[in-house]
Amino acid sequence: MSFTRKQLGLPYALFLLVFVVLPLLVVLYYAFTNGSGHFTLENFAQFFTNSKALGTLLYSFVIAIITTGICLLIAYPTAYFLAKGRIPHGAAWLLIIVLPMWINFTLRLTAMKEILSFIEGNLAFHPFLNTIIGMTYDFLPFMVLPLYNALEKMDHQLIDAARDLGASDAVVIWRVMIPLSMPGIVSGVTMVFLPAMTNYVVLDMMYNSTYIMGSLIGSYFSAYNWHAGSMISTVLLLLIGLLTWISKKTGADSEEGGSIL
Amino acid sequence: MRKRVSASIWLALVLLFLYAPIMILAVYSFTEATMIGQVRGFSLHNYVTLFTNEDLVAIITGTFALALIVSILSTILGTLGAIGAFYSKKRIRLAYDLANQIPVVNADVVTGFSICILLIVFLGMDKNTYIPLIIGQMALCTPFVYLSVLPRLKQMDPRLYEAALDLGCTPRQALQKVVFREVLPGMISGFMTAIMLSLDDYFIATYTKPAVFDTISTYVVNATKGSQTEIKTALWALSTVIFVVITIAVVISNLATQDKSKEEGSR
Amino acid sequence: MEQTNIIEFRGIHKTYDNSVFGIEDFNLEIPKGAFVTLLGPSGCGKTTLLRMIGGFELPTSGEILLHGKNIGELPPNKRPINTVFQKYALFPYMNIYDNIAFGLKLKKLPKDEIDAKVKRVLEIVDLEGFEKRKVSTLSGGQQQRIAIARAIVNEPEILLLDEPLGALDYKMRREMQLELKRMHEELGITFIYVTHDQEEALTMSDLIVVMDDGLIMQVGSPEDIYKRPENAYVADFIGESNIFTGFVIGEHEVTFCDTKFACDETQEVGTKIDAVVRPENIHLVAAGAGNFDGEILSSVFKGTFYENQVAYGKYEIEARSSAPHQAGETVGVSINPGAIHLMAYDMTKNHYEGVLNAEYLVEFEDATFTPDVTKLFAGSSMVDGVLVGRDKKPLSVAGTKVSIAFDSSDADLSDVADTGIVNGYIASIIYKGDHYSYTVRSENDWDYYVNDEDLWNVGDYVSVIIPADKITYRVMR
Repeated sequence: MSFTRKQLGLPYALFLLVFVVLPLLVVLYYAFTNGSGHFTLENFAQFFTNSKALGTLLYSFVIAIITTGICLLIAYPTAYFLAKGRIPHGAAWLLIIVLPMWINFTLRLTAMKEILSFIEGNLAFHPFLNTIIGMTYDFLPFMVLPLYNALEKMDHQLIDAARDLGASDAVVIWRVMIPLSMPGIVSGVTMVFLPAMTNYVVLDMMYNSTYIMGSLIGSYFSAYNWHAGSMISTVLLLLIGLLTWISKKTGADSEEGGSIL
Repeated sequence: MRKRVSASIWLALVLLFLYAPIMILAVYSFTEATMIGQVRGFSLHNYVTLFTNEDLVAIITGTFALALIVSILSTILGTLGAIGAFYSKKRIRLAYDLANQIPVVNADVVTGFSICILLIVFLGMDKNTYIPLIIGQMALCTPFVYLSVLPRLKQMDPRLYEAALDLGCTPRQALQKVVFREVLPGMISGFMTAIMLSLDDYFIATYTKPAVFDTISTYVVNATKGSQTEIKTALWALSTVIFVVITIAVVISNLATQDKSKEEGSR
Repeated sequence: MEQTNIIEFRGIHKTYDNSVFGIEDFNLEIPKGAFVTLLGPSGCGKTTLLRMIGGFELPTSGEILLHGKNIGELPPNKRPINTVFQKYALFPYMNIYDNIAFGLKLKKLPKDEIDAKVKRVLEIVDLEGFEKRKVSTLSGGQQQRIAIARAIVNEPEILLLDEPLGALDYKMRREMQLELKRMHEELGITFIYVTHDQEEALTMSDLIVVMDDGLIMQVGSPEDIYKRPENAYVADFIGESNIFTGFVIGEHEVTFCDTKFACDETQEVGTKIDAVVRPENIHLVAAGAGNFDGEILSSVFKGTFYENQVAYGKYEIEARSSAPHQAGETVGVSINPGAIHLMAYDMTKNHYEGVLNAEYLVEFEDATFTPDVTKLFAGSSMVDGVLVGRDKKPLSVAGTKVSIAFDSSDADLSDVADTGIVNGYIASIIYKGDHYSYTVRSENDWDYYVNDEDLWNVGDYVSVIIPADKITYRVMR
């Protein structure tokens, strides 16, 4: 009886194995082999001894940290106001904030690019600033959504209780609200941080010719250099693993991002 | 009261940031201007180009057709997967959950590249069959369907399935009449998410698409590198059209659900 | 006419991989047409039994007979049995008509026949005209009725009800109890009802099966169960009761609370007994006019009566009265011979409660025991003399209450003091054919029951010896 119900999952189990797990194994294989198929650490050695490559890693981190920070600073109060009734019809406003996500991100970036060109005269003058603006514009809704979910679930009585016990606004924010909304913060940060390290289309469109980690994969792809591309992917996978581990540690609900609408 | 005002101002600024570019572009899409700031007369030529330029029409229909195919397949696969996982032993379900989480947390660049490496480089599959592209986008979209269906199963009263058996359903009928009906809202929201992800995707398409095929994303990225203003301004019209369509769709679906809840509340 | 059984359980066992709850050697016959209630606390196995009848769970071993035929493997949809589920399990996206017609449509009955049946069944549950309503617009009580209607419209031979009134408020529950009883009489089919609410069971049932820990404690009519409980568990679970341990000292004469009482029931002289007296059968009279005098500890108004706690020496007695009493007042306590029900005292097992200390020893007033603590806490192990959990982090278990138990037949007596776990005087002897059953009373007034083949005398000072491997320990909730 329960046999048939379990069996329904088999196609997806197979799909996950073949098209999700296996590709990563093949990437690992390519990362640790050379053109003649022999095991080698050469790919990694080249990356970690090359100052330009390490510079790319550093630049990616800088972009990702700044973007994530700005998104958090903008999104947290927004999510709080909407979730806690400071603004009526919070859920409807949230929908309005999320709505632009339906427009393809390249089209949205085109729009932002036109505006910035008009304001700045020439985009090439401020590549770094424009990249940050572009990324924030692109990823902001992804930060608001999990924060809103976390803050909405938060029991407002806890804040009242803290105030009742004599906590100042600052104490309430640091000792009560932020710890309680930690799952939302962590899940929002993971939603923004990695794309910010890898989404090189934003840089391309903002005429920022500096590379981030994603750009490296793109250029190795164009050069048919599968081994080096796989190596970069492996480095990124390690980073993803690390981030996921940290978010598990801080108790983020992995299913938060389940439905975007 | 003051708190409310400052909150409103904050929200207004955030919305201005998010909407100003789209809105300004929408206005300019109805003029002959080729750059923001130019003052030119009203014109629908961008919309004419959008719907007559063969390249553009092919790209738009191709992108939407792809999104539809991928989302339908993902919805079926992800729903069955969620049901199978839900009724499996805890350990097996954890394995599903873990594998399912990989594309969710993974960077799209890596997902696209890894699919490309396996299918095209390692197995030598032909990109022109569209199979790598469809599989690649499914790998991106299906986990989100799984994630929106699973909570519905968890919330479902397990006795509903038993009640169906009790009233004479075979296990298969009970699955059809009760379980699928219960997860339907999850399937719908998973399907919508899949559509959105597929429409938004650039990276997986870049690494797996046939050379002759372009999605809106890949086309826009390439088009902005050139300086063909006719196409450029037609894209403004495209973003305006998408925005209007989505807004109308959201408003209608919200009104519909509101009516429903009102109807239920009044009794 | 010979009563026929519709359902018979034969040697049912049910064990789960990862749970201590289970059912052991369950045997029961359910007469056709009866209203039978399975009554017990949560986890006692009553719902599991119901689910086995419904076909949602299979017994690990044993047979369930329907009309004498084993239906153990038959899937739920093939059984002439329908269920009213906990929290109703109505299909939320169907209207009332579709919910009720669900089973009939599966049987492919013609539309007009379905319409007629739905209409009739809605009349039975008093919800005429509700066909087009949505489930979410109904109150809990109405949903309850629809759940019943949906089940009985299929004309099952047996209706299973799994705590169906649990989600209703008190008044509604009282109403539905009577309603269910009326429906049972009207429909004439067998009802098997599961509840943990004794009042429900007493009100509705023809037959009550009291369960605990997967075992039947007593089967009987509501009157039997209330007036003549077979053991302390049933007496305690059903209604309020005073249970006093004592002895039969003569024909229709017992002693408990250090007082002699005349008693309508009787047992063999010398038998250790539990005497059950319901609070409403204990009368508070003027000091000196009762069996003994006690002091009122408290008197609480309960609506139709006052509930009094009376102290008498080390005993505490619960009694009801129509007039209030003052705390500290001295009253006479009077118990009629007809109000005392005698139950055989279970002397096959010894039960004590101890507390785990920081050295992982169980301390009990009379003795200290040395259990294997790793067996008390699932998944734990000892590392360097410290008890750790699965995650290898130390567990703090000091202060945990632990029950200590051993069988009387595993214990021995010795006249050498301190050879066993405890010393005491023999308080009573009962000859049981091939052995004697002794009660040994320790200095702290604890009783130990020991079966021994040798003859000792009352008053002998002995030591009670129990082999360490015969003692079982259990963490108490």
